[in-house]
Amino acid sequence: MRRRAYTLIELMIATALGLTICAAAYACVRLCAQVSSTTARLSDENRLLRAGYLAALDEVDFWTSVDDPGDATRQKLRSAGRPFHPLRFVAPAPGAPTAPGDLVLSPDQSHPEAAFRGLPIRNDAVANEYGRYELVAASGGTAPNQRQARLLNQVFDRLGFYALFSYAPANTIYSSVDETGATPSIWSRYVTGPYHVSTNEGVCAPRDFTCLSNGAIYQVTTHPSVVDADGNKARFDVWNSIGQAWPDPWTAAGFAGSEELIAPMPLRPSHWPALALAVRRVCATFRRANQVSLTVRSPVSGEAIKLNWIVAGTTLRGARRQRDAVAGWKVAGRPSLDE
Amino acid sequence: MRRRHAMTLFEIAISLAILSTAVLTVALSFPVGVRAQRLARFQVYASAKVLEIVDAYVDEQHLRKHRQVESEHLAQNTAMQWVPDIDRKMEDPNLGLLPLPRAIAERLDSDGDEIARLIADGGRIFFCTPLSYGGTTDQVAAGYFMTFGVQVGALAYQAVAQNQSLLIGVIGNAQQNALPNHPCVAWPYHDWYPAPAQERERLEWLEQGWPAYGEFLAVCTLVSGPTYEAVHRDPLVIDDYIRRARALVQAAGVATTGMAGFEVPVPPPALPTGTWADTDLDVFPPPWRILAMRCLAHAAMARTAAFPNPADEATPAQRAYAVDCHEAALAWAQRYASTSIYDWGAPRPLNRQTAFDFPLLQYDLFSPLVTSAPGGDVSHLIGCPLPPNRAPANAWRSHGDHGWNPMPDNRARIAAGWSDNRAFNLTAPFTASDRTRRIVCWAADWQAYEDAEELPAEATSSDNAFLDSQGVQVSAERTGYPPGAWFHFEDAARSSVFDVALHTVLHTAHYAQWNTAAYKAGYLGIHGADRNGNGRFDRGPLPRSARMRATTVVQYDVYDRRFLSGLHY
Repeated sequence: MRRRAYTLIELMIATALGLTICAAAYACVRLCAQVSSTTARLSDENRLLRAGYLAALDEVDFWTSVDDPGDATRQKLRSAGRPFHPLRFVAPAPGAPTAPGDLVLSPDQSHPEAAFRGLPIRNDAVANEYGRYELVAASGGTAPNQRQARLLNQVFDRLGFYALFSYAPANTIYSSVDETGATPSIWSRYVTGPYHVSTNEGVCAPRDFTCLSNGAIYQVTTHPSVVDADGNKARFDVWNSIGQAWPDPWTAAGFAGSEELIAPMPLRPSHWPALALAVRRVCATFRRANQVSLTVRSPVSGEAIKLNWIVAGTTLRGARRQRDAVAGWKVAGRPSLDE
Repeated sequence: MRRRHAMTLFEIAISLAILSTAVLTVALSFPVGVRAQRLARFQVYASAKVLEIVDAYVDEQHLRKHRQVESEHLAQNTAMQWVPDIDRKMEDPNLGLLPLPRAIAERLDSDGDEIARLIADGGRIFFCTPLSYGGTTDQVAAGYFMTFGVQVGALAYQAVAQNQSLLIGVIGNAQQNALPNHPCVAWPYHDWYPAPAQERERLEWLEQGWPAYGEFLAVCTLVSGPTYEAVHRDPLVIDDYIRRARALVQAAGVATTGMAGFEVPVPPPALPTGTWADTDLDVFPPPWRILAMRCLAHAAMARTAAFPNPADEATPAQRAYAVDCHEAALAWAQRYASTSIYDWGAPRPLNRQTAFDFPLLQYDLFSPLVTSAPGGDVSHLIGCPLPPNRAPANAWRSHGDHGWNPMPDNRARIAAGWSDNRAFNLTAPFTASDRTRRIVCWAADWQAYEDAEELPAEATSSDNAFLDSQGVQVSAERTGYPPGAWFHFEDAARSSVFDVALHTVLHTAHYAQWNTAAYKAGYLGIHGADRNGNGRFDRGPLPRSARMRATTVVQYDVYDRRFLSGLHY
C-alpha cells in the first residue's frame, strides 16, 4: 500500500503548533517559577518581619538584650551605678516609721517626707544666702525630712538617670542638699563631665522631668563606649551636641550607635534576607519611649524594608522586678532586684 | 486492518484550548498567593503602626506644649478641642499620619461599608506620611532635634511606598471627654511652698475681698519683685518680714502656738472620721490662710540664711522657728490641696510629689450655647462634680497671656460660665463597652487615582496651629501646622512645595506674609499635596470616576479614655 508522506503544509502547521505549545509551556513554567519565587520571597520576608516584630515586643517586655537573667555573660549592667544593679527598697506601711538610711519606695506620696523642701530658686553655692533649707530636708544630718533626698541620690548613684525617672514619682523635683546645704553637682550647675544636668537655659534651679528632658535624652544601653565611661549616669544633650564635641560618651556618634542590636532567628538559612533589629530605650522630651527599628535586607538586590515604630513596654522598674536578686527570672518567694 | 487516522487539526485546536484554559486557570491563581503575602505584609505594618498610635495616645500630654491653655472667653480656647480621642490624636503631625482627602475616601468600598459609614459619621481616614521618620524620631520626641543633630537612620526608612497604601480609621462613637482645664483659667496654678507673695496673689486677694488684705499688702510690698534680693541681704529687714508675715497669719485667723515672737501655726489636726462638714475649717481651710502661712514659712526660713557678718547668723531658736513654720505651712498646704479640689484660691504646691491633681470639668452639652461675640464661636457651659448650682469657690481669673498680651480680666465670664452640674457624668459608672472603639486598617492603592495629589489637603483642627480661629497668635512658638504642611504645593503650578521654613523664623516681620492669601493657600494645602513625597506632582492612571476596593487588614479594639493622662510617667 502506498503511504503518502506529510505535505510541507502539514509539517509547517505541525511545527507551528508545536512551537506554540512549547512557547506556552515555557511561558507557563517561567511564570510559575517567577510567581513561586516572588511568593517565596514575600513569604520569607514576611516571616522575617513577623519574627522581628515579635522579637521586638518580647524585647520591650523583658529587656533580655540588656540583661539576660539566664546568661551571666549578658548581664553588663549589674554593677553599681548601672540600671540592673540590685538595690533594696523598703515599702513601709502607711504611717510606719522608717529606719535611718532606708530607701523608701512608697506609694504614699502624700507623706510629709515625700515633698521637695528645698529652695526653689537656686541650687548653687550661694543658695544659703536665701535660707538654710537643709534644716528641714537633707540627705543626712538631723533634718526631719530625708526620704526624698535619699531616693534621688541613691537611685541615681546606684542605678543611673534612666532608672531614677522610672522610680521617682511623676512630678518629682530633682534636687536635694546634704547636711551642709550643698547640692550634689548632678542637680546643680551645668558641667561638661559625664553628668550633664543643664537644660541649656542657664538657670541653676531645681528642675522637674519636663525640664530635665527638654532637648535631652537619657538612655539605657550596653554599648561598651557608653557603659565603660559610666554613661548610664549621663545624658545626651541634643541641642548642645550640634556642632560640638563633648568629652563624654554621649557624643552624637556615640548616641547613634548605642541602640541594642538583637539577632532574631539566628539559625535561618544563609540565603535568606538579612534581618536586623535594634531597640533603643530613652527618656526624652517629657516622656519615656521604646524605639524599635526593624530591617530586612535582600542579599540579592540589596533592597531593604525598614520599619520603625514606638511601642510601650515594661518599665525598667518592672524589668528589675522580673529578675531574681541572684540569678535567673524572679520566682515566687524569692526577692527580685528591688527587694 | 483498521485504518488509523492522525489527529485532525480540529482535535488539536480543541486540545490546545483545553490546555490554554488549564494554564490560564493556574496562572490566575498565582496572584492569590501574592496577594495573601501582601496582606500578611500589611498586617505587620499595621500592627506596628497601631502600637505606635496607642503608645502616642496614652502619652498624649507630652505634646501639649506650645498650645494655648487659657482664653478670655469660653468659646475662644482652641486647646479645649484637643480632646483625648484616638482619631483626634491621629491628626497630630508628630504621629506621622495624614488625613486622606475625603473625595478619595468616598470612592473606597470596604467590608460592611465601614469606610463609607465612617465618613458619613464625620470621621476620617488616615495614611502614613512619606516622611516616615517624622512619625518615629519625632514620636520619641527627641524630635526634629534628634534628626538634625544626630542623623539617626537618616533617610533610611524605605517602607514608605507600601506603607502609604495602608489606611487607618477609628470606628465607634467617641465619648464626651473631660476638659484638660477650664477654658478661661488653667487651674490648678502651682507654686512653690514656701515662697514669697506673688503679685497675682495680691490681685486676687484684693479683688476677691479676702480678709487681712492690708496685712498681706504689707508683706507683699516688702518682699515682692524688685525688693526680693535686697530683703535677703539684711537680717533686720528679714526680721521685719517675719513680723509682717506673722501679723498676716494672725489676721487671717490661723491658730498659733508658742511664745511671743515665735508664734507658729498649729499643725492641722487629724481628719475627722465620717462625713466632713463644709464648715469645718480644719478640713477645708480657706485659701488666704494657706497663702499667709506660706509667706511666714518663707520669711522664717530666710532668717536662717548665711550673712557676711557672723553676728547676724540665726540663733538656734530662730532656726527651730523656721523649721516649725515650714512644717506647719507645708502640712496645711497639703491638707488644702487634698481636700479642697474645687477651691481655687491658693496655688497647689508644686513640690508636692503626688502627680498633679486636676479638677474634673466637662462641657454641659445640654446647656445653652454662649458666644464671645455675635456670630463668633460658641461654647457650652462648664460642669463640675459639685452639688447642683455650685461652682468652684474662690476661683481666680486668668493671670496668663493671650498671644503676646496679658489676658483681659475674665473673672465675670468665668463666673457666668458654669452650668448647674446636673449633666456632669465623668464620675458615673461605666462598662467596658462604653469605652471601646475599634482601630481598623485597610489596604488600597489610592495613589493610583489621577487626582491623588491634586485634591486639597483635608481641613484639620486649628487647635494644633499657632493661630486661633480669630487669627490671633496663641502659641509662644510658631510650631503648630497642619499635619501635611511639609508636602503642600506652594501654588497652582504645583512645581514646588510650601515653604515651611517661614514657620520656624521667630521674627514678627513675617506677620505680613502670614496674612497673605497666597501664604494661607499654601499653609492650608489648597493646591494639593505631594503626598508620596517624591518632590513632584504625580497623576495616577485611574480616573476619579472609578471605585476601589479597600481590603481589611487588621482590626484592634482599644480603650478610649475620657481623661488626659500619662502611662509612662
